[in-house]
Amino acid sequence: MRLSIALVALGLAAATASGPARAASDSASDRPIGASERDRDRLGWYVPDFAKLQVAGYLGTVGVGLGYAAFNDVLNVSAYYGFTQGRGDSDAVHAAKLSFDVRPFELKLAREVRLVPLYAGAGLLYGFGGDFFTRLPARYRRIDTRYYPPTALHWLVQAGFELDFMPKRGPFERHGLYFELVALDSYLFSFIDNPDTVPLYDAVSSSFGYRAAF
Amino acid sequence: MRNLLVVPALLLVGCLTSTPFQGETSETNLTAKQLKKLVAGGEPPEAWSFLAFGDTHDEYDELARAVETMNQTDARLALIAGDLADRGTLQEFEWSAAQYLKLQIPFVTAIGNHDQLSGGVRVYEQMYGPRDYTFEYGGLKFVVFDSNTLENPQAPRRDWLTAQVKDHGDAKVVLLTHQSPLSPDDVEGGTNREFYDELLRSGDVALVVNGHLDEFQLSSVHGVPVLQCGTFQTQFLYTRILFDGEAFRFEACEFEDCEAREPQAAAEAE
Repeated sequence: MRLSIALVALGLAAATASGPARAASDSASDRPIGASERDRDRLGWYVPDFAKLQVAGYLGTVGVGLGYAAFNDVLNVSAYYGFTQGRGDSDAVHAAKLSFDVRPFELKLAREVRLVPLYAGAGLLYGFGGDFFTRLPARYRRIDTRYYPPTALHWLVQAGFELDFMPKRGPFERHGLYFELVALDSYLFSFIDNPDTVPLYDAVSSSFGYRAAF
Repeated sequence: MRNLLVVPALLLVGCLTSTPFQGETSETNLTAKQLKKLVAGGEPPEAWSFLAFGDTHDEYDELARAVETMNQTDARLALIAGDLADRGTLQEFEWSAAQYLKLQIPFVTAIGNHDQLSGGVRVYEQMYGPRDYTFEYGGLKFVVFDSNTLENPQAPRRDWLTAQVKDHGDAKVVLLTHQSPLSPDDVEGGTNREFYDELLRSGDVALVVNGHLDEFQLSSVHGVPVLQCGTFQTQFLYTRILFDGEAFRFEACEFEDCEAREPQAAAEAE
């Protein structure tokens, strides 16, 4: 319940913030999204097209994101913030992720239900904190400029599917529930290099989430 | 049919990994548990053997293969000279520990520089225990310590290390660490090399086992054998060390193929 309230609040905030653009849009923007349409910039091009809330996927225990859809929602670009609470001696972890996803397919399952059967993409994950670095500290560069790879940065690849419900009216174009598998650079390489000892379920993370498009 | 369902079930439920940047280890206090196992096995005969290797990084398949051959030896202990992980992440520690735990003999570890990346120190200390510790077994006093000055400016803890090396009674001192005492990574103007040279010159050290550098090397410095294990990740080497109560003999092994090695005189610090 708390989750849905937060999601609605997130969507409403985005809709409210874009008031003038909404007033300037034509009356056709109030009708439900068309059969061949997947995304419409009802709130102005500069307003994000969707917000996301997700669990895991290397982003954090919980993560939130905003993104833009282009080419009729086929290309999504998202920026996320993720949080993982401190456990034991470990501090809380704050992370950011920039992600690009391609969603070439969409199936209409019912009048108000659509399925994105497969999307795939890649992202860059950044971990905040003094334990991580992007630029090699000088004490290592003195010995070897490639002493370590950046520990704050990891690239990711992901693939998933999404089930969408299209409301007839209201601030949202669609409410989507998605599931995706995310692979982390070094874990993926470990899995490929060690087929006998590294199981796939250790090398990837699953993720569930909610995507509100507006 | 049941197997077909296991994979998607694990993918759906079993791997909701929140972050690669921290986490709780599945194993804790492994060093203490392994030493308990060592004691439980009883004292060895006067002549006995132990194994040494290091820098397994993210090479788990070959490690598993090597562990199988190590389990065929008569060794009573394995020394692991650091870099149990590659980027210091929890998952890497889990993967390497899963293979080390297949050793039928007890094992102890020194922390490597890669183990201290990405907050790996916390993971190491939770999974294994302290970074600096000692124990005695079979006429030897093993002094295990963190020597990664670039990652931990307090390392090595010189006063502690000097005191441990001096206080050995009738036992012979074996140092297990990650950095080479002959060419340790150090801060600009640092004096680690001179410190280690003084330690080896003291006459209290009987053997040094280290990792970090790629090549297998067996040197003699001030009459002390210094075994640089060679990076397991690339060379798949481990060394069998035979101790007869007085001296050490060495066999470098690549899986089942072992070859006797003699310490070579090394250039000494001025």
